[in-house]
Amino acid sequence: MPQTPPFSAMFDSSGYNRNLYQSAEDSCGGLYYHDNNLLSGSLEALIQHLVPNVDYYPDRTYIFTFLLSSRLFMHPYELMAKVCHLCVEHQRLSDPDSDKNQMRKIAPKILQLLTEWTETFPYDFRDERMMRNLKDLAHRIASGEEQTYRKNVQQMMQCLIRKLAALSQYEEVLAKISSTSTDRLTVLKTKPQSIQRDIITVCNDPYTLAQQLTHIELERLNYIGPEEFVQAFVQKDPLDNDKSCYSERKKTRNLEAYVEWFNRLSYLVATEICMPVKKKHRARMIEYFIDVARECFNIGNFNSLMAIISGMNMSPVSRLKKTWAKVKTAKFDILEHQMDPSSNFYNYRTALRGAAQRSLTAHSSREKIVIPFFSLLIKDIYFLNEGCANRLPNGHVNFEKFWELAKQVSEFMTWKQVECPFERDRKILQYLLTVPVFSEDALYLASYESEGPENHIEKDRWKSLRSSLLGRV
Amino acid sequence: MREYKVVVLGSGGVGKSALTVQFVTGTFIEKYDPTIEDFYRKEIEVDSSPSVLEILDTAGTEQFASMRDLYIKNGQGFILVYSLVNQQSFQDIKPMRDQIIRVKRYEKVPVILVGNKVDLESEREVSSSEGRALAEEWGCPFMETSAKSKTMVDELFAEIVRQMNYAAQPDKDDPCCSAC
Repeated sequence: MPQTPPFSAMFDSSGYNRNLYQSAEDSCGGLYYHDNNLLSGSLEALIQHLVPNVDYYPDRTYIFTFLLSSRLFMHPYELMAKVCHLCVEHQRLSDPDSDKNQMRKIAPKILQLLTEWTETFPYDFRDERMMRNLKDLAHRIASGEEQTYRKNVQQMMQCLIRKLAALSQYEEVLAKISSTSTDRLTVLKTKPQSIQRDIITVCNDPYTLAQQLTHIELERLNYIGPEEFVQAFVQKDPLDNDKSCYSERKKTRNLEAYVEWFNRLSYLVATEICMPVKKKHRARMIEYFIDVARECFNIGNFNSLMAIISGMNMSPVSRLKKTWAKVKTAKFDILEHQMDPSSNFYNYRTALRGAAQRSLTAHSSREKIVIPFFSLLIKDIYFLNEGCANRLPNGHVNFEKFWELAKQVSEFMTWKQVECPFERDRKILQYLLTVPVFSEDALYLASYESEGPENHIEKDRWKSLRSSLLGRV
Repeated sequence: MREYKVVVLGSGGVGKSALTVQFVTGTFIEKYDPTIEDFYRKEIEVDSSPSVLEILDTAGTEQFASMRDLYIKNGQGFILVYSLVNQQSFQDIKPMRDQIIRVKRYEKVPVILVGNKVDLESEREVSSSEGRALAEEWGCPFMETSAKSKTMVDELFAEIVRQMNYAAQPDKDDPCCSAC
């Protein structure tokens, strides 16, 4: 069986839609084409288009795009059931005498389709209805005479089970991390000596810290399934079709976990800067994080870079004028300019394209690293979904929209597969992931304590924070 | 031509992106590219002076709480959107205005309060008078809009331009200035 090629090969920049239809005609079996590009079709016809038969196997870009987007219209287990049904039907349609021959021809194709599904969307199979259908069909294929199929079926199942086990393990780790993290202020109040430990004492080299941040980013990215981008809309927007609701229990939340990491990193940066009592130390901390941010930029880790910039721009940090006056900010100005939201993040998008290009021609895994600024990716996909209709006025699925969606998601799928080349430092990783951070209120309080309030709004807020957080007036 | 930066804030699902998309594209279409440079930019004429609006919409990324200060820092005018069929979204909007004032460190920031989804009148949970009262308290304009039925969308963006123009003018009430 052919190995799954990398995603970058699926969508090239010029014509990512390579699902060509040979005939000059514009419609075929409920599918509508323009210039050989599939534009739209009825849901039924699109499902038919996914299922292989004796002389047809769907294009890989089509498989990915349809598996990704079909969940907006029906639950994956319903699609699976239909696919199984059609596969069996294709077999039966054949002449009973040549049954074995037909089976031999079609089995490897069905197996390949299932392999693509289990490899790209493994989390779909957390649903026991999916698993049941998969096992049924796999059993049907493996019970044939060909020994090779049996081995391939086994391989596919083992690979899937491994992925699902890894996911469960990751979820346990996340749960453990979130249960241990508490508010830094509570810790400071009960154990004032803990103020001694800051990020610089744990890792004094900003380059090393940037590398450890990259470790965390790549690990969290790697667990996000492509379908989570689509699920995000389903959950926010109750669809006209209520059958597509996801069961809460099986739903993955790796995307949310990644968002939480972004927020955590920003708050950690702000906490480390606001905590020191001496201005000199706060200024040193800001300079340290500027160096970390710069190294993140060099690595291609745009997400950590943006989280650090966000942390430095949080009001409790940015209002520390006397502290900032002691900091050499030229390097930071350049980074902020790179990530400036103006013109739809034009500067960042240019830098990202550069990094993506470098990644394509990379010789080392370090050069391969592209970690996009995730919030913007989510927003792009969100607007793509919001601005274009899922269905055309005639009820057909607007497939043009979904080619675009798949293009965005598949690029991300390439980037998330990069292996992190840096050595792991457990102590630093542990600190980054679990050290308590200040809440927003605690950040303001620390900030006012360091550099007093400047106007009556700040004065009032300081007073109320002192009484609510410290119990002092 | 003057360029204005507007930030759209409000909790998830209130229809921020629909307002923005309605304004910048004018219609719902089959295919578009939200990653291009001028996707969120539009020229409009307000009181017969042409201007360019650049919209920073936070839709879809509400969970990235730590980025809000950065976005506020980059904006000159703010559209605060709630859904008038959702009382919670109206409650959520108050701390967002506080946050704007805190980040900008002055109280006269150009802001508009917007109750969206006026097309769903029958499901209304926030009355017009509640919205108006809050806007009065803040000293800012108030509008009810519908991205779906294209009600008051262009008017909304024109009004925020006016607000930014007022803010840019020297304060006429200031006795010092009028004396000069």
